[in-house]
Amino acid sequence: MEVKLTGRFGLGFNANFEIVLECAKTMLTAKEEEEVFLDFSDVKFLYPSGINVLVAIGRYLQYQRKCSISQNFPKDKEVCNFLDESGFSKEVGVSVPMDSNIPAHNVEYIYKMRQFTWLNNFEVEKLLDVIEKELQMSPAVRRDVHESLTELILNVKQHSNSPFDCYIIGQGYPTTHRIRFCIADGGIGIKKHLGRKYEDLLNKNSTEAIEKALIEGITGTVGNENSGLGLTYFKDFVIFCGGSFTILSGDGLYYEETDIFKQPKKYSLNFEFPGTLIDFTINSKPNIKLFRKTEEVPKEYRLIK
Amino acid sequence: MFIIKISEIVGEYCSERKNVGDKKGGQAIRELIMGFLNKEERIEISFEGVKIVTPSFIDEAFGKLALNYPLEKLRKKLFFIGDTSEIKDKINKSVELRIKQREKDMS
Repeated sequence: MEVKLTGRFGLGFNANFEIVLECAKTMLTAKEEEEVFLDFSDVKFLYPSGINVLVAIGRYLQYQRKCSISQNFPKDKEVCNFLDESGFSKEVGVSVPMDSNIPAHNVEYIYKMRQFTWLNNFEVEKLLDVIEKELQMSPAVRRDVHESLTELILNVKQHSNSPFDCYIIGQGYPTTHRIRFCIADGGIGIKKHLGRKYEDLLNKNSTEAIEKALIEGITGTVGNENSGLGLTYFKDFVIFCGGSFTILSGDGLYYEETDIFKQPKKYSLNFEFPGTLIDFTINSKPNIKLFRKTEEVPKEYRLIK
Repeated sequence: MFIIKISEIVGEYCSERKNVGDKKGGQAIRELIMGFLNKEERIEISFEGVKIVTPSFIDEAFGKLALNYPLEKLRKKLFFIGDTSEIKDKINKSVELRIKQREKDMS
């Protein structure tokens, strides 16, 4: 089976998510032990979420259907180099010829794809370092983001039953002042998780479950009432910074951005994504630093009403 | 008096609910507190040297105490020392939620 990837491949702001969903759907029709060939040649831009969709489905096909994954190389050398820097090719076992003459992406702005089979706080610190290259945060805000990321990873580990736990990948964009990072697992999905406690959700599209998961304190685990805080914190954080987030889980896709004139978008899919993917895009501004409301702001930073 | 230094038991990252291998979670702290709650008049808890504390850890270590002990007893015996204003907010929230859960379970 050949899957043609094109355009600005990813989910969320500025990306062409229809292409990603079409590719995901095609990949998921692969039969037992079939070879899945990913044709990257016409990809113009690769977002972290695009890579995570491919790795999550790729892993699912490898584990569940014993499929093999192969790929070619993007014609665009910048994309080719990013593909290599992101760690995707290593994960699926293909080497990409990297052109050392192309200063395509600043390596220090890339958080290489990592599989979190255990909660590795030093890796979380590395991701925060990449985020902080674009977004200045006070130590207290950095701590909040760290705790929420940890909470998100723990939620995945404890509730998703994912065979590979989760993959995280991120990138900062110094020219457009944006940060994107993405977490993907191969688990049961938000609907089945919340359905343990809220049975009515099981008969609805996954977007209903995603919306419910975004309410503070909502969890599918009986007895752990304050779980699920990671997702709501990030939702608030993204909305505060200006940005967007996308959640793809099972047969639903949810997209929300910081614009009061835009309603969140909900899409019912005609296939089941094998897991959950959460993608965040955060806007940053040079010379702006984030402080917590309760913090004392140093003199060199002005508060603008 | 008994002193619990969280960083010496768990380390600088207090994230997990349960113990994972050698890494202690919130459960270890709760069990330690429960072991001394009836013996000691005063249990001091220090977060010195701790970098992050997740809500899950807090809930497992302190929130769940409210399921087994009355709030009055916890107030009288547990003392958080050092600069803990941020952490105390989380503990209060967690204990509040657990008290609500206990009341709901009893009704």
